[in-house]
Amino acid sequence: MKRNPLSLVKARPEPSFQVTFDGAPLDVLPGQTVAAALWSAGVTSWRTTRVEGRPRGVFCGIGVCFDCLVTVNGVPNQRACLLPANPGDEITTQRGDGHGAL
Amino acid sequence: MDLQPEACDLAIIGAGITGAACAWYAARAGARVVVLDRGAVAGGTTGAGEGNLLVSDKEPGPELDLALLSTRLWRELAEESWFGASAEYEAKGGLVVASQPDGLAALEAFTETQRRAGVEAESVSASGLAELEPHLSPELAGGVYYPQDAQVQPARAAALLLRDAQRQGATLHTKTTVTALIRGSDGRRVEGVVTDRGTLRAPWVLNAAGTWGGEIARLADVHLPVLPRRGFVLVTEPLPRLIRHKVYAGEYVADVASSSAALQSSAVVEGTAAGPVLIGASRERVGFDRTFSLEVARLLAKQAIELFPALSQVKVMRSYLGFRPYMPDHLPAIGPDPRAPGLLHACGHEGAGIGLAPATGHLLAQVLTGKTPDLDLSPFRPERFEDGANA
Amino acid sequence: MAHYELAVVGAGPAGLAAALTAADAGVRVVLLDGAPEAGGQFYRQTARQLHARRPQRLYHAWPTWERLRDRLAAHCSTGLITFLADRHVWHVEPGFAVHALLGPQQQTSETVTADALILATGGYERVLPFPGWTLPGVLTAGGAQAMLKAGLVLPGRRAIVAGTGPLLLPVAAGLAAAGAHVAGLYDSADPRAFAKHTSALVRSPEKLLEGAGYAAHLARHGVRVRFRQTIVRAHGSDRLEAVTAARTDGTEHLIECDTLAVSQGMLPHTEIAQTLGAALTDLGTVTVDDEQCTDVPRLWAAGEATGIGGAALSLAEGEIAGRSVAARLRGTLPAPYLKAQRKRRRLRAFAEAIESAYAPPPASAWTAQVDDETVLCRCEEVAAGAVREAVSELGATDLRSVKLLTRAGMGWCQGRICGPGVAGVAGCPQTPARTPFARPVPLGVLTETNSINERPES
Repeated sequence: MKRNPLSLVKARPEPSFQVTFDGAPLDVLPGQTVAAALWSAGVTSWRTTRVEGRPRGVFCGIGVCFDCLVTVNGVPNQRACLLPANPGDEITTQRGDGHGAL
Repeated sequence: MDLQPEACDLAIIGAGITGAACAWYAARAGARVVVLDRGAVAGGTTGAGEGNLLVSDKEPGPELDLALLSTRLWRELAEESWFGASAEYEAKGGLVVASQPDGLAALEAFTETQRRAGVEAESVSASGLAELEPHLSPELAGGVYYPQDAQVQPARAAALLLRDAQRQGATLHTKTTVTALIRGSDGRRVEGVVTDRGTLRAPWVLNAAGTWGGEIARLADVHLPVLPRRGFVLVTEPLPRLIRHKVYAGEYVADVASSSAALQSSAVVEGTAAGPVLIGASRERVGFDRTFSLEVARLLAKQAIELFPALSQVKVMRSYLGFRPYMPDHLPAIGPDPRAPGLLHACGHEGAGIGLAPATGHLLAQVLTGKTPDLDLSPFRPERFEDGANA
Repeated sequence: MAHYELAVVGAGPAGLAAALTAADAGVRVVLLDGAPEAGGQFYRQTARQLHARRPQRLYHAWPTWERLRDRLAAHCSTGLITFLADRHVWHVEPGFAVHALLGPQQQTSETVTADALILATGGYERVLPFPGWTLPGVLTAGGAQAMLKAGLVLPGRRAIVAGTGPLLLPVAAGLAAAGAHVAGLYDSADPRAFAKHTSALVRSPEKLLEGAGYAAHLARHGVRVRFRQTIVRAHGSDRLEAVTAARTDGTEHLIECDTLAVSQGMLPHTEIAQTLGAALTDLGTVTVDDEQCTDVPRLWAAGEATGIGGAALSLAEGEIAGRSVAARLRGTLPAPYLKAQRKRRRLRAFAEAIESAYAPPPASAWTAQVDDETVLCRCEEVAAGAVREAVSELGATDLRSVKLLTRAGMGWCQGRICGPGVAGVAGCPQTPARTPFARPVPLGVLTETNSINERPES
């Protein structure tokens, strides 16, 4: 089997759970952040910018750049690279300032 | 770039909003203008301003007259294609609110005096407030709406005015510090400026150095009692259009007029074209202390949430501070200085500098071209603090 | 409000070493970090629930981490160290009160007070802008490594690692080991630059071995390594599809990839130090003396925040800071700690040599690639054209005036990411971002935070 990060460190992850991204179900390993969960599903952008509407995803990976902002369970502007994913989370593509509801 | 000897009618010290407005009106009137600043455009208090263009917070008197003139001039500037949208000018109007019936009564009495002086103002009931500002706290007693209040982005406004002034022949020298004034043989006359990049002779030198106006005045051996009055602004994350007008608590007027050195603070909240909400306003006389005050920030946040409860969940991203140029009688110094012929002042506008800039520039351009100014400038005469009796 | 003798902000190598050393001397310490576990970035831990049985394969010097981790656990069980994980420090008041937001949700705040403070706030990567750098798939080299360590995930299928700096080698090696197809490592540095610094380099042979190890690893995985090449453009419509690499002779070639892990060295986190009034060096790092003291009484700093130099240097500096605090709190002079001081000296020399050899390209070189449409400020989407206009037509002379006139640096990251890019294009010095809010804070939380510096009611 091709080497992958889990096999490299001989991980034995706890059972996966489901979240949704824009309504579509994703399998997530416990302990992964929302960004990691989305990357695992091949998703690399989950918001569009306020002025130009351009897609953004992870950039700095450590919570400094705020590019990876995402809306989870209706709460906008959370850094996906820091926020752990939880079972049943509803992750939605964030548009602009994320406060469309206000 | 060193100052080249150039023909100059008016040397302006300060490239903030006041210097920029003075440069623009003077250049338009045909003067050859050179603007000097030790830093960048809007490097001083202008860069820390919210962009308030208000008539609402002024009691009848010379400052209100200046503001009424200025607000009209701002509207004219806003119609210029090179200015309006680019300076983020918004004729959004101001809403002053009172939380208690007695505060509302005091506000309305104050408003009545303003109306007699030419200010447009409409009383707003508690339910009317909700229509004007859906996110405003429902616990307020009522307020007054001032359609003449507006907002602008102060740094951009100053920069755009200067750019257009340059199109009309003015010159701008940033990173150029004035170290002395050239004096005439009588020891009083001012005939130009000495800078760290060369000297410039000019029949008129304008002190538009804002909070540092007292230092420039000292170079001419005259006293101008400009003192810093510190203010903090909180800036939130970008938001959709939550707050439609400039909204502030009625207590704000008393704070502006206060001569106390202690902390005065009341809520001033507004949205911006770019998205963030600006939250002010605090006033303290603590010299030029740039230390952040968590206590002030907390108070500003509390007062803003009292007006707009939804702000509780909104994040503050940054905070900045500025030093308003404060004069003991809360009026700016505008006009020629008889103690140092050739020297003019346009500083000490305290928290109203942005709003009052075009009127200041317009009136000074009239003075420079020998016209009768549209407003009596004697309340603003720079030498008034040596009169014995204060104006 | 809980009170401690010493608060340490940051639980990376420097903060850990400082806290452990101080606790060894009996000081009561509170250690705060935003992550769920200690380790900082260098020892960023894999999520527990993933149960990595061979974690060392993702790290360098794993036994060093194990010792730190075990010492921390021991001190925590005696109560001498209180480790507050998931605490994002947003403001520190003089005196000191440390205000921290709880968890990634950041909806509540907690305050601890301490007599002394050590800032071990670490660093983050510098990325010089280029056309297309905002496409999803372009990320920092360290960010790719952080996501891999923490979540055991890869950014994509076909990666290029580029930029310059000592981080590129371990990142490329790590990605390759984890199964990514690393199509190449493109470093803009000139290997001949290393020859100028041989004496400083050879005095730290373990570091050279470390580098050689990564290089050998890359060779084994067939990762091509090229020097004096720069990525000048990223291509793609909504995500990265390819990059253009340029050689010094100007020739360019296109490389297909879905991931570009890029950076040019690191920058220190200094906003808390600045808010407390600590002086910074010309390089923007916190100025410290031989004991790692800043010029603010009872304020120390250690690690990347005092000068980028890697984990081993951070450990040495942390030890020295911890010792100094312990002694000074007791009113004594710290005993000379020759071993740590020697190590610090040697590793600082190594770091300076590396910094010089891996210097980012000068602005004159990289700004030529930045066309007016290239976004410089990612948060506010301010393009190079607006910055250029601010300088040439609107009277901007420094980062502050550029910010006021264009909004560059006013967004969520408060100029941390765009500082170098904007300064380069504007041709002005890169003054470090100053902000009293080290993290965004809900206004409601701000109203509930007690200040220890409240003035008496007048």
